[in-house]
Amino acid sequence: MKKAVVLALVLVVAAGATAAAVAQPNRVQRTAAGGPSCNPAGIGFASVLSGPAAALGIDQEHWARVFLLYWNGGKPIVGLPKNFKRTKIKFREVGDSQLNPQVAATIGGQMVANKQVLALLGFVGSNETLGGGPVLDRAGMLYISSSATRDDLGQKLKDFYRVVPANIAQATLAVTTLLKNGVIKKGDQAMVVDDAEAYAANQADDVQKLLEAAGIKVDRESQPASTSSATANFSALANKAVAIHASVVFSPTQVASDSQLFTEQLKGAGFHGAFVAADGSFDSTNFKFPGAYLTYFGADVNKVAVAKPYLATFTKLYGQTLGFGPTTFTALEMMSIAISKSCADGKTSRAEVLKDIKSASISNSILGIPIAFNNAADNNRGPKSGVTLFQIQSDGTYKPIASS
Amino acid sequence: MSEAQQPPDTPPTPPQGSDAGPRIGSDEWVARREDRVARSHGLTGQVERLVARVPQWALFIVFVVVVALIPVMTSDQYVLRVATDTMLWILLATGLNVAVGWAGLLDLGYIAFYGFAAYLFAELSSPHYGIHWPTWASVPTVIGATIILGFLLALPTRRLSGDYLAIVTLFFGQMFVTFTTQGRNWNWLGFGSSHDITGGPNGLTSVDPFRIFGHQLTQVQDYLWVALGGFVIVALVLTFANHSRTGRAWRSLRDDTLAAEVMSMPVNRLMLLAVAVGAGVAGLAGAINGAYYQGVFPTSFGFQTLITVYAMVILGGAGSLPGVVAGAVLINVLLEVLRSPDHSRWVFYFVLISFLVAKVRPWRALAAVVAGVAAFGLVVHAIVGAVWPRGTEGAISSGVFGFTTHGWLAVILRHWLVLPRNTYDVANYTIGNYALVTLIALVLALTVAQGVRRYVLLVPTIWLAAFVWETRLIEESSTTRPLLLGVILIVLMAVRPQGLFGTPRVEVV
Amino acid sequence: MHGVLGFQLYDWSYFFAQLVAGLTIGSLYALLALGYTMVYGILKLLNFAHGDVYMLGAYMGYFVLTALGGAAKPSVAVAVLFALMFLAAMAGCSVIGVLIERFAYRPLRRAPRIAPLISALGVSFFLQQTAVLLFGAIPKEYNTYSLRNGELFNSFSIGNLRVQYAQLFVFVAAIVLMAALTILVRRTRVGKAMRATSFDLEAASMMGINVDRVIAFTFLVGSALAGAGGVMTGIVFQNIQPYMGFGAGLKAFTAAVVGGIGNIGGAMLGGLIIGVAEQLTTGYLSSAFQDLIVLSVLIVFMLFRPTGILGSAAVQKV
Repeated sequence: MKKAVVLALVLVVAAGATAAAVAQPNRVQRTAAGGPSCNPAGIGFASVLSGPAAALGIDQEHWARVFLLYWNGGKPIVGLPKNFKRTKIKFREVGDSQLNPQVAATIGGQMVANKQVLALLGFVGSNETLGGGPVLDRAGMLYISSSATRDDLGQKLKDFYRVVPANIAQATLAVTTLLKNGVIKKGDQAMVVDDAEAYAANQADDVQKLLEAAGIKVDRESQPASTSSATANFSALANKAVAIHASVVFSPTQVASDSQLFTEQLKGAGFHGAFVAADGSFDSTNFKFPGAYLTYFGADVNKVAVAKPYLATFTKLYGQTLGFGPTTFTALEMMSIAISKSCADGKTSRAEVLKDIKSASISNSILGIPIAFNNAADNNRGPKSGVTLFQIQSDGTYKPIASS
Repeated sequence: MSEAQQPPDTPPTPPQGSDAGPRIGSDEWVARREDRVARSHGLTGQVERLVARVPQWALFIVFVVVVALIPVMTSDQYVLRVATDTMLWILLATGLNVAVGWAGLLDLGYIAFYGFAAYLFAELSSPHYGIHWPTWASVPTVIGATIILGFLLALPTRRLSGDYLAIVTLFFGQMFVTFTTQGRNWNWLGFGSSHDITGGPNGLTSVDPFRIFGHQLTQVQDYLWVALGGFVIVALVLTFANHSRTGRAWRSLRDDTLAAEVMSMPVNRLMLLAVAVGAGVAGLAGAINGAYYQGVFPTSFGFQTLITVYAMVILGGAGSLPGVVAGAVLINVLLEVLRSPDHSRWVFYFVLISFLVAKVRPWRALAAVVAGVAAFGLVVHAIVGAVWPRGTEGAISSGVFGFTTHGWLAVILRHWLVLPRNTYDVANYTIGNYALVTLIALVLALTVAQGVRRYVLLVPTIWLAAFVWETRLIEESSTTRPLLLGVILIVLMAVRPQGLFGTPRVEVV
Repeated sequence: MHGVLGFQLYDWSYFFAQLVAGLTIGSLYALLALGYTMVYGILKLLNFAHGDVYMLGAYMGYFVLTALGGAAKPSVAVAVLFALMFLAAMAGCSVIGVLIERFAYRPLRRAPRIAPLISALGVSFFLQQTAVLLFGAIPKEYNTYSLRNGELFNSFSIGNLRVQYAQLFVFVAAIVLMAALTILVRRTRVGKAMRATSFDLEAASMMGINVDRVIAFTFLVGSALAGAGGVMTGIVFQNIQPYMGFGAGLKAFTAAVVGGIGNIGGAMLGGLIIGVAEQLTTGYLSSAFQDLIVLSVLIVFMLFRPTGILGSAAVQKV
């Protein structure tokens, strides 16, 4: 009893002391000049590192580490001009947004408060970007996302950039190609299923709008993904798809194994139509149902020739990649280029980095496409749409059949 | 006070923990008195009496003044945000305390009230429906609506035992998350067109900030003061309620529902009142939440948030208002500190050492254990270093992308622990995982070991704990945080169910 | 929910297809509900951690599966593979269930009712996060679809009824386990002790029944059933991840309450009802409503028949 009280008092003291320590403004070493350092330059990382979707954030973090190995080590990086003068980059802050936009706002504050952080590699989801972005906008700090795909982000936010095309690009390619190939036609019935998360819901909305514009009836469903608190069970939806004679099922879920399950259950229920997934299911080890379609930005990192050395390093260090992280490599590349440009005169600031990102560009990337922020459709904040539609072959490989 | 004049002979030692069985033949007043007498001995007793002599209202005023002055003391955005977040958590914990602490009801849908209020506020003050109610109209409406919701929720279970309330509220909490997630294309069972009620997974953004006396609140510290003001009002109201007949009735409901009913207490009404009041406080917190973050999203109001609030209330002491405030501060600060491995490391070793100091008596045993742990670590390090050199080449991680910490603590740890190079290597994950499972088994064994065996077992356990901390938990601090919340709940219930500042309750036979 | 087709009437085969799917998942809920109902019957405790024991069972089955070569190329016959998976999961889960009872609930046997509930919440959360640490948050796949080229998911027809072998397997296995449990409870001495303890714990202990052991045994059996349920989920629904226990646990709760908490037959019945209600809602209305319907069923029962379908009104003795 007494010991518990002692412990309590001790804890209170400890908490107070730590809070005081945390509150110190110079938590990180400062340069003599007092401005942000150029050697090494500091950046922040924000993603989802706990909770059901932690695997995605951890994949991103690992790819960022691989990039830094190459960048700081002076090794060649795809798309970078040969004699490009690099500034060493170091992560000064790491934030776990837990897929919670309100936590993202706190993390935004954390990044802004650390004067050594020049830019943020984040956020992971569109909602967090909307939650934490305004904080960074107010402070005038660059943030590049490698996975936020909501269509209106480029318009709503000021200092936001991304290396992935918005949702509408994938939806458009999928729908127009299927219409063109006669897989679906006007007057058909379609089923669109989202997985109750922001990414899939937005994709599904775009697909639904496009289908309805093409005169196709849509039955919109929602089945929580396996990474929420449930085990996904599509058997009822599979039966329904057969009963309403749907000619296509769209399921832009984030979990590749769910797409695999859905296609299997569809087959078990006797479905003969087409199945289309989006980039969230791009994972040839987990989703390999022959005949299914899926969209992705860029090519399969396992197939892109220039990505081989980086993929080998990644596999050696961290095992198999989820496929979610390679875009982080590219995003960090663009950010590092901008920072290096701004550090050309030895001094830098957040405003300078913001200015230099506009002119950053790479001729190729590990996604197999060049990246530059000059795509009017995304308000010059995203890459030119480099979306490809794949179809899974009978041996489980992905074959590109259309691109935009 | 009578305790100061106790006879010098040792009073009967009250049984430790609750597994000593019910004290047959003693009533609650007697049981409390024994506890009080036991507490009054020794230095801690004297400190406690000193603290107890300070009236609660003085502590309250000091707290309010300190918090109000935080924005004056620092302009660090991060600290201000953490302070405001903590203030919101304090409000939440205060509300939950009413149902859980004062009335003894397990309200597991509490966060749904919080979310409902935030969403309602967002609906009333955002471009979503184009309505922009003024603050003085929307906040009371939100609070009122949440109270009604709490009332409605508790209604079906009023004639059933408290467990049914737990089930219904838990399910309702889950329902709320589902409703907000699916609320984008809502139609009434297939009839009519679809409506976008809650914005679905995208949530509702661009929510209006508060407008008080014509002044729009856009700074973080504004919301700190608003939350603080809300807390002051709520605390005063609740304290008056607690000292009134209602409070006493709630306590009777908590301690023995059947007896209360037999004594003609309106048990159902009290239960409804407790849930409704808690919901009302959550309503206020929700409204502030909506305005502060200027956006509401379904993921913010789920199970993890619920567990966090519960940990705060239980740690602080359910039933004690200053307790839950302290609990909220402690937990939130702890969670924030755990974000940065460099800071969390200090907390971990500090807690470890204080645990040893507090639990291992007498001094000789403590010295033996400490020496044993140090020796054990050095020996293991030497053995592993000889057999598998890579195993000891690693460095102390600072969590930020594999960069390492220096300093005297790092030097000690590097020689005392076994740190494989590249703790991020896939193969080394496995070592850490096995160590984690072994650690859990050892801790469980420790709770049943007696006497000397306990101290002997303590040595490898401590070392293993440090090992697991450095190699697994600190790297994945984002999983460690929720893990610690769960551990806190379990350990608290087993060791000290009344939390830090609660009063121990005796189950009377 | 946009574009819901309303109450369109499909043919009978569609109804039966959804019914079969409902009975499949209902059997899983029933298995879980049994654990909840048995523990509640004796201890009046809602064991929130039960769903996470189910999750751990699924993972144990997964590890056995991988150790024996995986579903694509198993090194033993399918029947042996399944038997081993079930045995491992049931044995492992019973150990975990007993440990949870021993360390998290037994110290709180005399504490106020709210204490073990909070502890259960803590254990649930702790198990989930430990699973994330140990296994990672990426869903793992049983991949039983590639077992003998998907034979498990072929279907056979009986008139209008079309059933997949996997669905039949789950249903039959669940029935067998439930029958075994009923025999255990009704025909054995330890079953009699369990029934006596759930009727009146104090009186049972005074009659010479070792209450601690009976309670531990209850947890053992309940957790073994949950483990079996986990493996079945893996086999039929393939994807397992650390948070799967939470949602399934909630539904199983509801099933236990609807069927009559404390009543074993009620748990089975409740599970099947909940499963079928869920699937029929998806089939005829929309998948978005399925959880809502389950909650409504719960509320309706709370209001009009709180003791559940098969439960009897409990007389509270003073």
